[in-house]
Amino acid sequence: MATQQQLPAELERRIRALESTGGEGEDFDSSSWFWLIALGIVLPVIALILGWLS
Amino acid sequence: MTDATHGSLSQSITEADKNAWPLLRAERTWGPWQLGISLVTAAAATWCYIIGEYTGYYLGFTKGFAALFAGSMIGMLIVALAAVPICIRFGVDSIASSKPSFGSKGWIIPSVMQQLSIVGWNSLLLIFFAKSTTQLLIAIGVLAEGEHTVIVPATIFLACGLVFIFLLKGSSGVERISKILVAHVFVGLWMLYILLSQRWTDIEAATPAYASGSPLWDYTTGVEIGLVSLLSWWPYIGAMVRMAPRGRTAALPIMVGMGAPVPVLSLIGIAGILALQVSDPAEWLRSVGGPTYGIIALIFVAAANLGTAVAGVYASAIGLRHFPVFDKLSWPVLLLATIAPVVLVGLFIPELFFANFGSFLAFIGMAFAPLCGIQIFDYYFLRNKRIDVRAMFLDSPGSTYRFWGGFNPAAIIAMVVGCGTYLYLLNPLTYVSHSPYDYTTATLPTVLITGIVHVVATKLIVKPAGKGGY
Repeated sequence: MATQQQLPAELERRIRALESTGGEGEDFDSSSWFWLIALGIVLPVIALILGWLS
Repeated sequence: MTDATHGSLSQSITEADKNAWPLLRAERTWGPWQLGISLVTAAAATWCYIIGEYTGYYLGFTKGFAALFAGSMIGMLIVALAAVPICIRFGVDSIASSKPSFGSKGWIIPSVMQQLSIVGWNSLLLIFFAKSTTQLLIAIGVLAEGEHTVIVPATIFLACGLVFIFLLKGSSGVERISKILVAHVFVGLWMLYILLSQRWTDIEAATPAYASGSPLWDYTTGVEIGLVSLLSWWPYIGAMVRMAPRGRTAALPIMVGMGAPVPVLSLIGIAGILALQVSDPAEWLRSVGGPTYGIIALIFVAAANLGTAVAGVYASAIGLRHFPVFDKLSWPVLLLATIAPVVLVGLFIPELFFANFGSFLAFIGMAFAPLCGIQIFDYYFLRNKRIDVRAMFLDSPGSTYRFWGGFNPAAIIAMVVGCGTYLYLLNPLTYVSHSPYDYTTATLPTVLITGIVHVVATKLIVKPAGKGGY
């Protein structure tokens, strides 16, 4: 059983807002994953191959 | 909205901006351009030169760029996957993002790493700033050669004073300075053009000074330098991306704005060390393009360093807020406490970071690769993205991320195994490596092994005990 811990009023207000529906920001979506994979995996692999062959 | 309500909201935003509390969606106003520009300004500093120089010790210009580019972009991806999802969902910094995996007290481990890393990088930047300012004063005739014993410490104080002033208003200071200093990136590209157009023959003919004789080892080491350099952005990135509310609009600015500038601007360092064999850019900037170009370039160096130092000190100050002793301090006093170690290092041991930069980079890899591995596996494979935001700010017995005394043993075991893995693959002091480093780098297996150990230890120890909210 968790012991009650008093949070500062402003922090409490912020956490309640984040816990409410639509309060939090948005994680990576499919478009984000496209860019992450394209720029973080595909492009580096191409660069490595071209660099090694140069 | 009435003026009074608006005033109260503004004050609330300003206060949240200067502490480690989560920012609300309405307060997170940076769009992709603002985020991208801020990230570019944070990433594009003179450390790019020294990163490029270290790559140029092992590889020629083209291979060096390819290896560094690949390593940097992969490194950026690792950092983005580790810290960004939690930061962007809850408007928190990188240290807060480590609480679900390390525990309600265990975040001290990433925090110490953050402080050491940012102090190291900022010291390097401010020493560069001091040297380039001295060279600038010599170039415009204000100072004679040899008259710079007082100027270097004075400029370090000046730079720290400017950083302090810029940050008095919190992250708006980062945003404001970014809009002005982003121009330095284009000056950097122009400098690169001058260097390539005037010294291309020398660059092409140059032999890397410390090439090992194994092209594969040299190439892998170029990739490794890129990887660990970008892992250094872990401490910075949370404080920046928490100002943006959507992963959708942040992914591209992160990869392009923070990942790509380092290898591109590092070309200046690669070309410089190959063509001119000078390790301090402030010394060769004037000789490359003449006094006029030199003056512009030196102004660029000073501006670039200042922009990054502002972002670094801001991230560092927010990170310190998690410690109760710093939580109560006023914002100006906290800023002073954050800047003080940088001043001390810059004044008393300024050459240490230059002389041991390679070891510093490897230390970054040894520390941050396991950290990223733990965060990635914890968030995606153990928690399936479920985070308890309230628990990130609780430390009472029984709270979700309390684990045992505030520390998650699974993360600590994984961290130790990860550091050991990195040490085995690449010794940070000697750069002696062991198989399969030539084929894998040291960072990538470290991220993977650390993550797997964290998952196994969590399933064997933490989950059966009903701890951690898994």
